[in-house]
Amino acid sequence: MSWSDDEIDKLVRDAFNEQTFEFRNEYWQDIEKQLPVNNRRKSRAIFYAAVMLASLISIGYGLFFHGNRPAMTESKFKLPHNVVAKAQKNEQTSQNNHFLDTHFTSNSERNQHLHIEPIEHGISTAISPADVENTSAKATPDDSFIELANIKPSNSFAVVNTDSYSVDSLSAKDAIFPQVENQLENSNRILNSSNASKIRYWTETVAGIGHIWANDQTESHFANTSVGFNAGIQLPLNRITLSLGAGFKSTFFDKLTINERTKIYGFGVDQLENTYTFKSLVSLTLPVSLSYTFGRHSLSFNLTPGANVSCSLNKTQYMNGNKLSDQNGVANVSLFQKYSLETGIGYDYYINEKLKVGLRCNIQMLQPIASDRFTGTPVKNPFEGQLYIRRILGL
Amino acid sequence: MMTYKLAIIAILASAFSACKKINIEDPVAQSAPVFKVHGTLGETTIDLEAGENNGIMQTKDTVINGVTCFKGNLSDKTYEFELSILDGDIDLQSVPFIHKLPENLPFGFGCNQPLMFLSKDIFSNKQVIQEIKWYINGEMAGIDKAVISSPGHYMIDAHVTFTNGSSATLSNDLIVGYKNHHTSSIHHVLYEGGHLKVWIDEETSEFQSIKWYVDGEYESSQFECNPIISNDFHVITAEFMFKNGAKRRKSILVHGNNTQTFLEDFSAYENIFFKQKWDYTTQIILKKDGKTYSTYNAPNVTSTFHILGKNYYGKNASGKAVHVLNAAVDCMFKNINGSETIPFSGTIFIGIEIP
Repeated sequence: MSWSDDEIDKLVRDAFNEQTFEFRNEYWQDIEKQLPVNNRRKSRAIFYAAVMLASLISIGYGLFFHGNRPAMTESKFKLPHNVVAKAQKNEQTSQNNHFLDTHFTSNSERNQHLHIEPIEHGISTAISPADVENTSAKATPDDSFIELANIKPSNSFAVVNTDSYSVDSLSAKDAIFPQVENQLENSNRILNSSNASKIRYWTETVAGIGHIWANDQTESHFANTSVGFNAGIQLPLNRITLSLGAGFKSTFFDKLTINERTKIYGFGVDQLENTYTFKSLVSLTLPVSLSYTFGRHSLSFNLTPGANVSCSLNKTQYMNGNKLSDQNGVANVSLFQKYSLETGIGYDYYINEKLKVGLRCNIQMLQPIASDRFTGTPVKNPFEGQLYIRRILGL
Repeated sequence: MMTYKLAIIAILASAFSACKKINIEDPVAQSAPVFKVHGTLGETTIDLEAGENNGIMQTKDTVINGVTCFKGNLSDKTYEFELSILDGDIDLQSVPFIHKLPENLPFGFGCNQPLMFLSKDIFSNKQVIQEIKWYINGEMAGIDKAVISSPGHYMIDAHVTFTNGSSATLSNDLIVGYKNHHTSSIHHVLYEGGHLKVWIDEETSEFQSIKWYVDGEYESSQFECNPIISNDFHVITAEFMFKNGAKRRKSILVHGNNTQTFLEDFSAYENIFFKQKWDYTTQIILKKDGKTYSTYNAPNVTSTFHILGKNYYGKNASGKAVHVLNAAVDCMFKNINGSETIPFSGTIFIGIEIP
């Protein structure tokens, strides 16, 4: 039976009018994936951190440098094994262009016939398709090949004319370095991947050794030591990482004493001697740092405000050389600065994505001793070197 | 993980809170010497301080003839300064010495004449007394007569022998050379059958309390006592306290069957012979360059010892309470081994031990 045009039109019209959309949950999930990522939580955290540390960022801004480091390219294609794309300039670039110009007459021919031979030492060699048939290693004409072909040699490749360029002239460093750099690039991709852009938690253990807090010329001193534990969050800010934390620190003193002798007159005279030997000081700290990461290494600027909480000490009392009392215990920190402020620089090294070790060199901005009763001259700005191990959680 | 961290924090907090708390004391302020003597002896300046130049302050109380003497000795390598103050108002024992101490103290002086005579002639029944042996503080002082030449508080025992051959002993304490705050004495009348009536002749309004004892046994607290005594010698004792704080014990000797053989309260005569008193007299001994000087027997009639303060200091090594006596002194010293006299003028802070 043949349909008239009007009938066909009517049939189509009716079909459209009666059509209903069958909704499935999968449709919503697919759509949701296409929606922009909700960075509201991340934005709020960054906002508060920026408000708190506005002055710190302005100081740290001077440490920022722009543009010297080339933007990392998120590689969307796979390179053949052991083939490294490395930017070569100047001599190699001109050689590449000369080679292409002499062998291919047009860009399309270049694109069609350009082939990269995978080699072990990371140096690529461009050969013509005719030569491919004579060689055992054949390129795989996949998408990656085409992508490579579209990348201009002056930016990405070391396309070398073996006739004019001697392999033996390359040093071992040049032969090895691209391979190490490849690993660094891999690390950078991990650190700068979409996963690393999230806020991460960390914990760290710190051990330090530093200058004594009171100089006594009559006695030899070693140094103060310290141990501490911190925990916090780190916020990636483009290439900079802002780290905020909280923790405690215990400083162990080397010969920090108060020795006071007083004559007490009475029926005769008595010599009263009070000696306080301070052993340790416990502080609560809020470490803040801005670090710049390059590869596995990072440099940081640290600022650690703190509050001194308590100290442990030994108290002995003598009267005319006879011991009256000998006590160990804790006391308030009235003889110390109530607050502390350390600042300094640090270096750390990523052992892996979760663990890094580092060194810090800090200086106390506030003189820690707030009393002239201590034996010796108070040190105004004692410095301290710290070794720490930080574990990043959640990766 | 959070539980683990909280557990660590809790453990650390509990360990921290369990530690003994030590108080960091403020620096003990250097104190100034407490006991010192600053002045001039003749043309020499004296600076004597306990705690400097091996200076030491010592206190000691002694008893001189039954009267407490409060002494304080401050000495160093160069000088020795000893202050002695006699007690006063002996019969006012209920009042602490530090409160009785007047502002101005007299300097002690010697006495070349007896202060009291003890004799059988002072009794009204002397004709029946054959003999009295006098004992002063347990030591034989004389028969029929005894003399007391130094001020003090003495215990007198009179061993009396009557003409009928009977004998007995009567004891009384005498305050010689010190103030008395009463003038009472005991009177008695013996009736037949041993009925005795005894009383005090002081104005009753001055009494605060009185107790009668017969041979040491409590008899009565009335103003007048009427015991019945046996045919023997008995000691009747009155212990009384006056409203002015004076407290004394006075005794008489009576026989239950003989109105003649008795002995009156001989303490009634303790203040009739010498009027000058030694209450709170002070004496200073100064040693310097091997020589000893004393205010005793030096011309100190016009000298002054003016107390500026008398504050409690603390306890000495013997646990006795010590007061710091601050005084301005202007006196004369006399070499005890010669006739040399030297003037002294200065301020003293001397400790005295007051129980």
